[in-house]
Amino acid sequence: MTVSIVRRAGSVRFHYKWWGLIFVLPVVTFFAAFNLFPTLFGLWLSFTDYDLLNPPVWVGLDNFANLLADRLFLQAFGNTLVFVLGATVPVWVLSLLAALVFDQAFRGRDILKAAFFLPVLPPVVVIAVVWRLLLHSNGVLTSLTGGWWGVTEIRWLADATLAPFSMIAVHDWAIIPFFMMIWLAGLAAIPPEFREAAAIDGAGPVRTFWHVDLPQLRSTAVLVAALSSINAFQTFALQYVLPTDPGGPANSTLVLGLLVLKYGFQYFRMGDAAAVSVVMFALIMAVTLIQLWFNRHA
Amino acid sequence: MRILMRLVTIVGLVAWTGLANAEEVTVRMWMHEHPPRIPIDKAIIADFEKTNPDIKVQYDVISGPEYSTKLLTAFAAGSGPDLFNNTSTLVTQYFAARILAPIDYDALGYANEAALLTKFQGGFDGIRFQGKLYGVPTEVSNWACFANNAIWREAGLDPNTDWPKTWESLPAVAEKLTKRDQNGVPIRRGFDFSWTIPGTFWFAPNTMIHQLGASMIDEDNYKAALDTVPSRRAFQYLQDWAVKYRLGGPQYTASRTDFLAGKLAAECSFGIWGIPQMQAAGIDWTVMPAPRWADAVSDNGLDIYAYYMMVNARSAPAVQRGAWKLARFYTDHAVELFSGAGLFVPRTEVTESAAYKGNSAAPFFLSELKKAKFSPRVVGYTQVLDTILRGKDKLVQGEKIDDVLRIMDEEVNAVMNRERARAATLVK
Amino acid sequence: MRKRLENIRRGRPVRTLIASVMAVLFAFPIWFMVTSAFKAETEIEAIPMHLIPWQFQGIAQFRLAAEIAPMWTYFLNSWLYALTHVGVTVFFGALAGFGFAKYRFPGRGLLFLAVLSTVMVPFQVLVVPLFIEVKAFGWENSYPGLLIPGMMNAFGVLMMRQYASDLPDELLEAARVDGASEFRIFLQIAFPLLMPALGSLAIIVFIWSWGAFLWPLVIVQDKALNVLSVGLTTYTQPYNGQPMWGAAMAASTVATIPIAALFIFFQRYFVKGLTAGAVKG
Repeated sequence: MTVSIVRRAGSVRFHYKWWGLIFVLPVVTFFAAFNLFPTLFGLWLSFTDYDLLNPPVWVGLDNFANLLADRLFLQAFGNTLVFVLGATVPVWVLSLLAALVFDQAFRGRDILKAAFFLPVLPPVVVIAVVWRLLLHSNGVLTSLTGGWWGVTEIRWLADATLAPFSMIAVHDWAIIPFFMMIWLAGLAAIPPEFREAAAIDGAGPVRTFWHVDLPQLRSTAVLVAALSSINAFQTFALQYVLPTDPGGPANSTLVLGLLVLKYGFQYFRMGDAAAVSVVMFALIMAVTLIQLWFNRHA
Repeated sequence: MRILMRLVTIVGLVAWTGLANAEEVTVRMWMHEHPPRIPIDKAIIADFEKTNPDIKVQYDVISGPEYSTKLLTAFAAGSGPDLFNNTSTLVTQYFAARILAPIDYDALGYANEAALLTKFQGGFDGIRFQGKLYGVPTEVSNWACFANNAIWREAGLDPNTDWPKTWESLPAVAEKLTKRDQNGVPIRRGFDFSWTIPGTFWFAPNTMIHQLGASMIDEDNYKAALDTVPSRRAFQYLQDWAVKYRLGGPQYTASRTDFLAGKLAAECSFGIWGIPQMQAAGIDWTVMPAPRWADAVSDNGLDIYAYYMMVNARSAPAVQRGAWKLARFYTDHAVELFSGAGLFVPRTEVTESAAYKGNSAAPFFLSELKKAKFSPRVVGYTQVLDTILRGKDKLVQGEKIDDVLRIMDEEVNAVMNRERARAATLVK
Repeated sequence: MRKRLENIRRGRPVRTLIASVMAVLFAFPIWFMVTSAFKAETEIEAIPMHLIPWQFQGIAQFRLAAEIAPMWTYFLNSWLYALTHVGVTVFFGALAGFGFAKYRFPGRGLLFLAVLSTVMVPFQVLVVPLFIEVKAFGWENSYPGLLIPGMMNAFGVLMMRQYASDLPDELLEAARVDGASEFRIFLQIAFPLLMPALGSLAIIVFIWSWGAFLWPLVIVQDKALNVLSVGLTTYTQPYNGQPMWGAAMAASTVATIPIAALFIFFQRYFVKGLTAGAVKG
């Protein structure tokens, strides 16, 4: 009796593990076709000159060499770094502060938290459209802010020095509530005994936060930093829709992601577009690796 | 999918007619979106199909911004249309990619080029490459300046007498028509350029440079001429307009929009086709020539552009012939195009037509048209335009014009060099 | 209990005040968007700003939005796009996650690494080659071209693998001994057990695909195929006339409603979905 079951079980076990392969095959094939292949194809493209109308011509490293002298690229590179900085550090700090405010119970907390969370709901394009209206040079925001001391024209999106800040501000406005949620989840995971122990020891709120909460929030902190930076590198819709011309006045808000689109689908220089995207990829990888290293050794 | 359908269509047609003695062809025709013109197109095509039973027309209208992209991707996929139109600023890239077929005079129905040109009173400069013609104009458009009479009257001025004849005298007149707030910010502009609509901005400096006897781009040698004395004059003027005189700039609503809303006293980016729009908006207008420089060498108004109907060189020969026939038929209906859609083609029957004679502004436009020059045609137009527009942004920021123009010239030349190198590697 | 009430009475009004200021700052633009959808065009940019519409327009702006551009077509296309992405990602993500978690087949590690690596590639790297590839299939400017690339999301696989690995093996073994086929085991045991996590995944994928912009922008040229996020740009960049802000705000509101509805009705799943895999890490 038992012998036959074991043998039967043995033969079934030999078969069924292959089902795993069958189950993952659809996904793997899909990614091979629509993800891995294009990535490699894109890498190949970056070594060619291709304008869509004529067959691609191999140019080796020329595209990359040209990028180093390409003003448009250098500007986009710099703009991207500025934007990523502005979209990560302030977000990290402000969303944490917001989480601290909403962490404890108080009158009206739920409804205020819901109101605070509203920016997360609309798709990015909606946010860009609404802010484009609000940021008219003599529009609503100008009257609300500059109106106090009689300023009637603030060129939020039309001035080449102001535009990048406006862009960062809108982006941050839209994602701070989202990261606040992540912080809140992290804070909620802190065992209350820790805080109670600190209270018993007579620690005030600031010291409690510094010595109890912060160490516990370490993994959340890393996560927020990583997610916000990856998100910042990839933002595209905001830069495309918010200014009148994608790229902003004097290309002051042109970021690498947008440059890929410009080269690929406005100028039809597909090889250059691919080269820029390769650089972008390398940059993201570098930043992610630096963060990982930092996390390990800090 | 399209190729498959075409195959099925052709196979089906052949099977239907057996071995037809007349080759039945299908001409795929793409036009850009200009709503008033579409019903006229359809009527013309229906007529054409009746008179030419062996030619079928598949007509498609593509909406504005995507039109050029869609054309490009279609050509790249080998499924480009057989007959299509596009504007003169963009045709060079098609020519450089060997997409355009030179005019087949036999199929078009003219003895030769001279015969063709006698029918039209001009407008072919935009489609002439290396001496040959590659299309026929379906619209030749020049812009002029329009004044909003109500606003002028309110300021105590009369466009007919007070209109500035020179660029130099324009700022003073515009100032009189400008209303400002306590900070000097114009809340109602007197005159402004079309800063924000990309394709329209460059007409201003181009025109000014042409008037000084030069051109922004040297078309034959693929060289930019942006860091030159005439160019500097034009761009300095525009910089002063926004920065020194604060009469306008890109941070305000687009000039066309504000003019139609009755919030701008004068502007210069409408063609004759703008008049119906003004009438619909209730604007009482006067049309005026563009200002010239006091010391202008050439008496040209605003640069012109044209829409040309072109034939795909990669289509089958029989299809190409059918396409030229259709082009001939289409342009022969120039009168309907003008009266129905306000599109001007410089042909005698148009200028003799009732619609033309009944249009008070038409003779003025024609006289300006004859004096005007074509806007430069550049390969890599999109990128060149972008570069110039970004230079414009920097100027409006107040940056030093010498640096801006030098960089602009370098960058445009870089683009054009690249295109020239690529054109040289194309195999015939 | 008394201590809590004391706290609420004592230091908390300050918190309420701070939170109120924050809430106003962050909610204001959304408020502005929705109210402007009901204002007359001239009232929208009135200075000083009108907090609520003084001349209530009813659905006039919405009607205008649908006239200027095929807003409802865009709306439907967005639904089509989002639902196909959700459906495919949820089902095949669960299937693959289950496969990776519960089956030891040769090459499992390598294949999983391959799937994981796709998450790290930003879409900008893919957009140009993917466009050329899709064009080669003849799918440019068509529904297959719009919907198929990106239909599956690796994040779904990762998340589901995490949750699937927590499923009790005994349950699966028992079913196996009973003679059930592996696919039935997945369908009737694993899939139902994964439902809560799939709910969160569905929501997060819906939000991502509803707002998808870059791919539809690149692949679609016909208005009839466009999605709402791309279609919205027609209201701000009109060819010749005014940007119609009232219509733009109306269309924007329409674009926000589905996500807002999700938020209201599935708030718990919503938040869980957003933070899913994040804290679980």
